[in-house]
Amino acid sequence: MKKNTAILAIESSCDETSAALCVDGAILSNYIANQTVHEKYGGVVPELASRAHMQNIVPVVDLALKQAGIVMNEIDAIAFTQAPGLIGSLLVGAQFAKSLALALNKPLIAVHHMQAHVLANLIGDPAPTFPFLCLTVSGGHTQIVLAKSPLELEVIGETIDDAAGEAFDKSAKLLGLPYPGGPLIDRYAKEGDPARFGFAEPQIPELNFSFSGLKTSVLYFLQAETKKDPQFIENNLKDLCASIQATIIRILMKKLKKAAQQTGVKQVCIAGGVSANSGLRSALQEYGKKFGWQVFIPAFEYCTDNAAMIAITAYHKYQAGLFSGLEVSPAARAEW
Amino acid sequence: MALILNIDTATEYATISIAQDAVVLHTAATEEQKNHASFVQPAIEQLLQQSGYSLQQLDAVAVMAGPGSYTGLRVGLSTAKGLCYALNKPLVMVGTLEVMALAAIEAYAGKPRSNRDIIFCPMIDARRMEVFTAIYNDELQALMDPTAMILVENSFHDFASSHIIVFSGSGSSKYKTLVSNPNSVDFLDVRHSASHMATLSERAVIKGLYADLAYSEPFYLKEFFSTTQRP
Repeated sequence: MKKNTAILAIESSCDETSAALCVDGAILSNYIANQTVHEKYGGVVPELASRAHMQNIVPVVDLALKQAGIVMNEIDAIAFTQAPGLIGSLLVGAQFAKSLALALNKPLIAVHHMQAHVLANLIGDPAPTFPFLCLTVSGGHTQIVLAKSPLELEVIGETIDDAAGEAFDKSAKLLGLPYPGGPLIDRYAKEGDPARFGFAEPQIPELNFSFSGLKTSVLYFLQAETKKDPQFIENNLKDLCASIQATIIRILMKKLKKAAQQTGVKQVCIAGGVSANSGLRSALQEYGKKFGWQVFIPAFEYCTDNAAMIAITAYHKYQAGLFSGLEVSPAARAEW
Repeated sequence: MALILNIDTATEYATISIAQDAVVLHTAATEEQKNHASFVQPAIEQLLQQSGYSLQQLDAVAVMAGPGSYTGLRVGLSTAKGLCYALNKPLVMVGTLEVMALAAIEAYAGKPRSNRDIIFCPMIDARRMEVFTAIYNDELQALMDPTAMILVENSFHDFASSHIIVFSGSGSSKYKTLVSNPNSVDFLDVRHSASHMATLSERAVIKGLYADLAYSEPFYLKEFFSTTQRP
């Protein structure tokens, strides 16, 4: 294969250090180092995340290059996650990437983390064609994006408060499950009755979401029930998980369905860490059958935070000549 | 005999320099702490242009290891690691307090001396009454290793009885308010420069004292504990 464009990408926005190699839009490697240090704290501790990135960055980049069989001077561009994310975490990846670009004298490409989640769908085979809709759901974000082209991504709906992943994790905490609780809810939900308990569903206009009310609804419900029966959570854990999960998925799917109706777009994707949730995956398939959507779900390693999605986004920015100067610095928040 | 790029983003005042055999050829600096990340790589590019050297000609990349601002230290070290990794050059880490002590030793060289030994105590402000500090003799040997210390009046009692202690750095003004015996101390308003770091990075290269590129960490000096730790 003739090598045209080799891009090394680095992602360090939260608690995963990742590096990937992409050649002409094909992912050759995607190495991800998870940080387990946060588990005992019940959430990501920014200072610890930054410290771990510092120790991971060289080995992770080195492994990504070796797995891809690419040597340093074959790289045509360096990409990194510029925003949004934890600033201390982003800085490690950004400074490292800028030094690589400077030392190798290659262009630098700054990538928006949320745009990259959407474009992670392009890695798949089959991949969606434009336009498509993408529901991005993670611990920090909940968005519906209308993707018109790789560089024309329009946010048409988003959460006004908590993210869907937060709703999973916070509910799990109320149920006494360890962090991160989202995957545990999914596991217990499989054996529970999703219709057993009902929780408040928000009435938010347009295509936007709200999840803070659900958490409160779960809290009050559990407080009332445990007053009557101290063993209530233990005795009903599976049904509680199934009911909470079903509520979150219903909130998500209602707006996704509305977005598909409004835009007339029939290719529907999901992205972000919560797209690993089995309930959400089967709901998407079910809606797809019912409404004639073509459904795309990226492989799990491209759903959670990963550098492959940064690389594929950078590949399109490279073709459009969208490069950054060495003065570019990361930002915790960013305009789309 | 070495050509070294020195990177110091440990405190609010960031300096990048290129030095040949410990002689600083060119320097770039900024006092905007929030902008260190934007500053560093363009500054390096500028120094290369000014000096006519290329990155490939460097013998090593040196970085201020700490103590200092956690974020500042990571900005410096991740920059240095990227360069070393891409260029396959050795990494040198230089202690902030040692560089500060060298600056104090030089600044004090011309002062009249008493018969008591003079020792040097650089201090970095670590908020409230805490400082990062160490004590060195005038040959830069550590008499007290770098430590995080909450200042009290008797913090340096053991040394003050037999020495004159010269305090310097951003944390020293806090100790000034606590001192009871002004005859055994002196306070020096001196800021370390690129040449002080260049002197120590050159020494490290000559001795072959290189840091592990993959796993080296900044010299944070303090473990980080979250207050939300679960039992």
